[in-house]
Amino acid sequence: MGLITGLLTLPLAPVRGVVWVAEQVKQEADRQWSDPATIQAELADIEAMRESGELDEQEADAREEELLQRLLAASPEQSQSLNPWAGVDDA
Amino acid sequence: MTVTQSRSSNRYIERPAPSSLADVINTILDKGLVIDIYIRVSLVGIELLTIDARIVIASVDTYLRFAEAVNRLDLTETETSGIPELMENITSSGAKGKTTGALEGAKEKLSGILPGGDEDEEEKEERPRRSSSSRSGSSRSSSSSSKQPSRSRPARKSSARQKRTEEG
Amino acid sequence: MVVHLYGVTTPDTKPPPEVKGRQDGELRLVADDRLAVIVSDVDPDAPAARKDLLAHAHVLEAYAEEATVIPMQFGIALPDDDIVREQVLEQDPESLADLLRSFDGLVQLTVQAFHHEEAALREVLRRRPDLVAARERMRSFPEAATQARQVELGQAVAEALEDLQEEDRLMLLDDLAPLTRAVAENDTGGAHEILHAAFLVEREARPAFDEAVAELRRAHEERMRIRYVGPQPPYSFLEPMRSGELTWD
Repeated sequence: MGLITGLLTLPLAPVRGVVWVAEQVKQEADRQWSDPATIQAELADIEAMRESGELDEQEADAREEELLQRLLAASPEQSQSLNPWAGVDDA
Repeated sequence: MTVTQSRSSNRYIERPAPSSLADVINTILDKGLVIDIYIRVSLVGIELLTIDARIVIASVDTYLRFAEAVNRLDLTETETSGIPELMENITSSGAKGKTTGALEGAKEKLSGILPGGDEDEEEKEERPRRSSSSRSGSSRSSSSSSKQPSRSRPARKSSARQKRTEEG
Repeated sequence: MVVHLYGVTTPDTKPPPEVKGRQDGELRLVADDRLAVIVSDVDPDAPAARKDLLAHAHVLEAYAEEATVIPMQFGIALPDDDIVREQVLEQDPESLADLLRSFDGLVQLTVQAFHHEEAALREVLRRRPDLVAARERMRSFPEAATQARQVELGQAVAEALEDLQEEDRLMLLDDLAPLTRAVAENDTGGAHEILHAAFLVEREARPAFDEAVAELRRAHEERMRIRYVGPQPPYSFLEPMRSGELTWD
């Protein structure tokens, strides 16, 4: 997994508001994936259309954002990973 | 006044581009350091996902679509040997970007366990250096080949290929 | 606020001018005498969107222009600088220093190539008059153009197309690989993608590599589109380096 081995494996001292997701939940989330294959392919297509000029920048940005949110919506854990510290009270 | 043809004037156009969102999500997201103390519930589905779109599902449906795509091509000359230029000049009926979609649809399907073709086996082998595969005939070595390890490549073809016979 | 981590570099690395981090934040280094972590402060409650993913990648690429940087995966954040120091700089400095040394003077450049569908098919037919003939036979005698025969033709075309893809892929690699230290191929995805390769290139070799890519574009634009991305940190070579697959003096 990580390239840095031998690091501390104990969790940090508890930080308020952070939700640590258990392995089981993660696996369940994985199973619930809504076809990331399609999303990946669509992202590639959008980039191609951006490059060819078929899509202008704004439209391409908007579509990408939509796809990303779809990806995140497929599993709340994914949102978690983008925002692992969401909900942390000011340290 | 001298006008110098400077290679560097083209440099701006030749510059590589920054990563796109597709690059980040499709390729980069699972690469890089992580630190163990932080439990990363990552976008695992993306990490796991590799689409080998060159997987041609050995299904009737797929091949029918290929036949259809070929059928649709506008070739004004049926004799192709010896006059490739003429073929090249035939303008496509639509914008290049607008593909027929038939082939694309077929290729986006994922497959499960793939029947290995004969060539596939050696392509699956991890090659310590990237050299031409046997398919291309001659084997070449680049001067720095000893410093060019390559990663193993995933199997590229899954179609159970029949022996091809070229019809005269 | 928390501290978002981008990657690890040497402490003497200058920040790229006018480059901001996530949420338009100021980039800074948390450093000791050997290593430095590129960070910026972020508001953890702001919903992450595409611009965050892109900011992370683009920050790393901006640094990669001039410096060696070992990227962190997107999404790593720590509460404050002290913990960054503790958890990154002080945990395994030898490994990090080794990585920086190994990739000193090198950048990653990524090349993708895609066939134009119609041009590729035309080339296939150009090479295979037997396929054209088969097509013509079916057109001339539609009653005889059974589904079985169509499938056969379609399959033959598919195989010939695969051969062309493979041939073009090798042609591109043969052209570019000699200019590089290493090549790592990714799975190709999507329609007609024939190559997706990461090249590890010496900085001094970049102009020559740029030129080679430009030349390939010019020579093959009829049949393919080439995408060229970089300079990047050595994303595709970290694992091979660590696992020992990648070695040089």
